[in-house]
Amino acid sequence: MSCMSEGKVYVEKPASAVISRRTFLKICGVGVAVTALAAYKLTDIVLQRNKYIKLRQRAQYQDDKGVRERYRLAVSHQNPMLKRFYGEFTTHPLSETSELLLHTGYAPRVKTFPMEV
Amino acid sequence: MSVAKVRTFTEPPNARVGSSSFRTGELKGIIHINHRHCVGCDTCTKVCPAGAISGGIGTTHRIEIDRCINCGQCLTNCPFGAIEQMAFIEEVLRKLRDKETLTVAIIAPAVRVAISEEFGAPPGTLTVGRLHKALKEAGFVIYENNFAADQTILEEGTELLGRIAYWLLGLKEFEIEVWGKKIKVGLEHFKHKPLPQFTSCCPGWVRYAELYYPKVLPHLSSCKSPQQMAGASAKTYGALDIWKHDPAKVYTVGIMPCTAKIFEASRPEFCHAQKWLEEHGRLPQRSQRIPDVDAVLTTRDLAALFKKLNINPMRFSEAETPQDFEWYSGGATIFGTSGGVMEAAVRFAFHILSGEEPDALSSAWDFKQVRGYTNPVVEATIQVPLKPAYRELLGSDRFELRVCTVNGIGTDGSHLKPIINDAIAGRSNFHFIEVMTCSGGCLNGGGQPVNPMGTSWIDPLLPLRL
Repeated sequence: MSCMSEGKVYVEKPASAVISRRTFLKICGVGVAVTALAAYKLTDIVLQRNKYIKLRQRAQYQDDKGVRERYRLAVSHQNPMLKRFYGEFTTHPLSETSELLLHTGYAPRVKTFPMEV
Repeated sequence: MSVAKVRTFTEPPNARVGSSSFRTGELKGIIHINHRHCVGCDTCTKVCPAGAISGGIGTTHRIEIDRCINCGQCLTNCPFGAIEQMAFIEEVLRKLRDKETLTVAIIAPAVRVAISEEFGAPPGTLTVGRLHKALKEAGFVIYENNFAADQTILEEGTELLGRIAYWLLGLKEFEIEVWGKKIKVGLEHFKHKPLPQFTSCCPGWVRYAELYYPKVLPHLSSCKSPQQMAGASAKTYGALDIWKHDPAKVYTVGIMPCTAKIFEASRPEFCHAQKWLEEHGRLPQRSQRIPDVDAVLTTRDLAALFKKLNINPMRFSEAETPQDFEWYSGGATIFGTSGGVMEAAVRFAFHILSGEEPDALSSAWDFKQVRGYTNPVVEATIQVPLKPAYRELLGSDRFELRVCTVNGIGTDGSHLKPIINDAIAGRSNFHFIEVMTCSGGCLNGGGQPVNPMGTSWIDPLLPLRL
């Protein structure tokens, strides 16, 4: 008990000298609010990240609906100009003219550029 | 909300010199990372479907062009606008000014749902009549890529039914009935066309297959993409029978939501119109190559062109009556969204197999189960009732059409690889598989307006799918 012998006595400081109970609560409150807002904003960014894709998709299906309502064209073969194109030009799908103008082939690019497959 | 500005550059002198994965004539380096603006955030690496970007966090990133499939996803997702695109705006403007040239706009479905964003409208503002009128004011003649999408469905749908008839029924010849006409399709060469059939509309996916999965190439539909069908038809049937214009003075411009289409148009085999015209004596034999599609503008490039000409499409009205190649079906316009090519093909196959005439207003002709929306992979089985002629052939009163939609190749091919591996190994359950490189479909393509709402680079970082 050396400190005692030197006459030093431990005295607890009153809490208010560091921070009052009221201030402590205020700081906690602000902290929670900032964290919550940040988390809210972050979830918002995550949830909204595809929103413009969804909006554009909706417009694409809106066009489908519009074309079907206005002209009664749901399926490709109903297109009146397409009927004319085949009638006057290529005769039918996979015909000789179709094969020449509308079909193609593919070649591996690996010969010139060996890559892991 | 205004869209982000994307820097462009003109074609450098050596861009068409062949290299290890490019043939001579093919454009390379369409997408370029500007090293002065790259901060090394590594976002592009996380969205690249081909694993073509090198560089770590904090260092300048670089695209290995021989591995790149030109999809432009790195460009639209770059948070710092450091990635640039090769553009041909001036070249198209010169042709528009030339009064002897008939400049044809081949306008893709996904352009009409996004270009309005460049003029201050919110995303999802549909712009069809307005866009057509603006293009006509700029001096273009219109060949709807949606019309070409209808051509694609007739060709690709018939090819799909041919593959099914050859491989599942062992037929040597197959009959379909369209417009009340019976058409016999010979199936001799179908032994080189195995099932499942993959779509071939997406040029990013085609180059991906050619580079990384050459074994899957016989599975790809032999149909050209709508853009190339449009180019070849516009310079033959369009020039000779519809516009009555010298085919050598027809200049076709693909207006696409896509940067890979710029590459596709430059593929050396795509000069079939010239070949046909020469064979039919409509064009003198010449050594100079005439491509089917002369130039490609992205949606952003078209907006820039409109702004240079002081045209704002939003001030026109939507109402219009379609003429010539402006006609298209509902099935065609949904090509712009993931699952659209599939749905249009399913509608056509359903009509052919069941013999039912479509009721355009009925939701029975919607096939929502094949739509991609924001799901990476969608699988569906469609029960198709058969008409009497096919009932005998199949020995059943219905056919189960099994299809799959791949909505974006995924980071380093993550969504697509298992499906390709199954197809190559012969254990795929599907008849038809649609692949789009960009998630959501063409409407989220690399040539679209860059929307500040778009933060899809977050996706790979998420621990759970939200």
